[in-house]
Amino acid sequence: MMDFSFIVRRTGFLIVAIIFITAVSVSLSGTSPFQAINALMEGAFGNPQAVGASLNRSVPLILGGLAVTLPFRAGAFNLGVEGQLYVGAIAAAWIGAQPDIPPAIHLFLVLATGALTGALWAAIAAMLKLWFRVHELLSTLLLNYIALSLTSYLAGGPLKAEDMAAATRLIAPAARMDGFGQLGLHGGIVLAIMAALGIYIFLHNMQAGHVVSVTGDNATAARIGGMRPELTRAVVLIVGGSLAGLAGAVEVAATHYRFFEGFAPGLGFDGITAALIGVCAPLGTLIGGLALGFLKNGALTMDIFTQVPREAISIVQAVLIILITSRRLGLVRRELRISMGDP
Amino acid sequence: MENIVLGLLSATIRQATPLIYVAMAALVANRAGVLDVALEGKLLSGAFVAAAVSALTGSPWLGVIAAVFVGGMFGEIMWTVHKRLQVDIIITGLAVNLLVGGATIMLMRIVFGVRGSLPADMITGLPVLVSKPLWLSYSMPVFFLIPLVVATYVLYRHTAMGLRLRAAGFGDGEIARTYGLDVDRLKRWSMIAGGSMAGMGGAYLSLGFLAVYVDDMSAGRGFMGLALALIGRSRPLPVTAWCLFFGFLLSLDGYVSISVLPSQFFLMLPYAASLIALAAWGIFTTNKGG
Repeated sequence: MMDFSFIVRRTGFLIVAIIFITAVSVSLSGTSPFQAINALMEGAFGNPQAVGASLNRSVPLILGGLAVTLPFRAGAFNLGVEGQLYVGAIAAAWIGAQPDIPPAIHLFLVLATGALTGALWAAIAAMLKLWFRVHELLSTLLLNYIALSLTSYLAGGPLKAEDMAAATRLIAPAARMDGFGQLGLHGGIVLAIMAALGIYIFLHNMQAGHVVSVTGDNATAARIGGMRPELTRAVVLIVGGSLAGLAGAVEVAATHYRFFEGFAPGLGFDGITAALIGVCAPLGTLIGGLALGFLKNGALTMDIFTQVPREAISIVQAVLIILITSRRLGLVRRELRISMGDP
Repeated sequence: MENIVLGLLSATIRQATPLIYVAMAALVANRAGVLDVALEGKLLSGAFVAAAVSALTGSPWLGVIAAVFVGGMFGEIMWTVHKRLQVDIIITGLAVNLLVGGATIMLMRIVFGVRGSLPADMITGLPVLVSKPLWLSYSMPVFFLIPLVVATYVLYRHTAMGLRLRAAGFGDGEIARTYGLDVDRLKRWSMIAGGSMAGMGGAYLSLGFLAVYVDDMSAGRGFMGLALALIGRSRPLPVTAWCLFFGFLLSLDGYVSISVLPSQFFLMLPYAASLIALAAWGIFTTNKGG
């Protein structure tokens, strides 16, 4: 059943396509594609620090991707990861900077606050869907922009640090997630892997997870079986929001130690990419997040040492999404279908 | 006082113009049965291409033509990827948005060697078509909207072609196919037309009033237009009216002083208003999706 040559052919096609597209975009910049790919790989895993940085970079991508994947399994589409991430981040930064919190629980509070705030933000979209039947595709998208403006206002206004223009205060040392070891990894990668595995186990081995899967596969069957698809979708949307908020909190706690305007541009959408590359399956999202993290980190080095801007990676991202979700190419067995009924 | 009213009026029209273009593009796609999430990317690509071509050639008109062409091209590419590679159209749209977001930044660095924004003196903007009265002085894309909206209205309501387009977008196109319509061709051309409109809207963003291009200039207007097309039930006249109202909301930013309310509030307002309007729309219709 596993046709080996089939797999090799399809994977080979994927790799060739990516290389071709990258080469074309890269040569536009005057650099030789080989130089560029070399720099990319150097930056991604050329030395232990690079590997650590790549893994660290994957953490918010995995978590953000899971924020899309989990709701998707119930048939809800969470494109509001960016906004949920931002509000989670600023809430985490605020709590992190509070002086009178016992150090032992400070980090936990920071992460929990981020997750909770992200969940609340997603709850807005969930309620809009539950009460007013607004499709979450649009509402989560629009909420992103509202979140951006809101956090920008907060960072430059009420939550502003005295010595900064549009940033919050630094969080307390106890609330930070520092890297350690030769790789410079911080604890976030553990969180991310546990979250991915947890969701996998939830969906496959737990009854509540089974409800989610059935709701996503066949809402009518779910309803006949006594489930309530609308409620299920609302709940997973909120849980997804908590994952995105957690991603934002981790970014604050591990990387920036504060929130500032424009602190993670596009991170939420990169999480969506990770989910799509992983065909919205929990383990796939883990792989997708890791792959994207390595790619992005490598692109930074590529940017510094060659003339190729790091944004060239976005082109690779887009091509990857299309190639992997293409049913015609059949590179992955699971189908990804989002389109709804008549607009 | 009169100056403020007229000032608000022109600001409203200037803000509403790109919205109407995108909303029309969304409308055309909706009629073809497609929820075009790539409008944000098409709008941004239109803005970038128009500014870049204008900077390279000195002619804003070439910029507009290039923007319209590129927008239409994206529509065609999206449809081809959807049909040939069988990628879900919404995923395709998301990929286009990603690609445009990265490519514009990348090309700006490679071609112009700058980051963040194109220097204003590099770009030649579109000339104003009417010098006075001041509240009527806009560049071409604004005036072009009038025949565009009218034509769209007439097309879908009173022509045979409009009927065919609507039929193609109905359900999964099975009924249209039964009647011998080439559904694929009709949808494809709808996407191309929509993309061109979005491209024109983008050209107006960068060249229409001030000659500026800034990274991620579209700032969610593509999604706003999408929401507006839904709120207006994909009908040209109501959609245009909504766009004008939202253009007014967007123009408030420059007119209410910061001490009253922070400027970010006015940035949030249109999006929040879109949500509220969508919610209100949901109460009054039965939603088949979701």
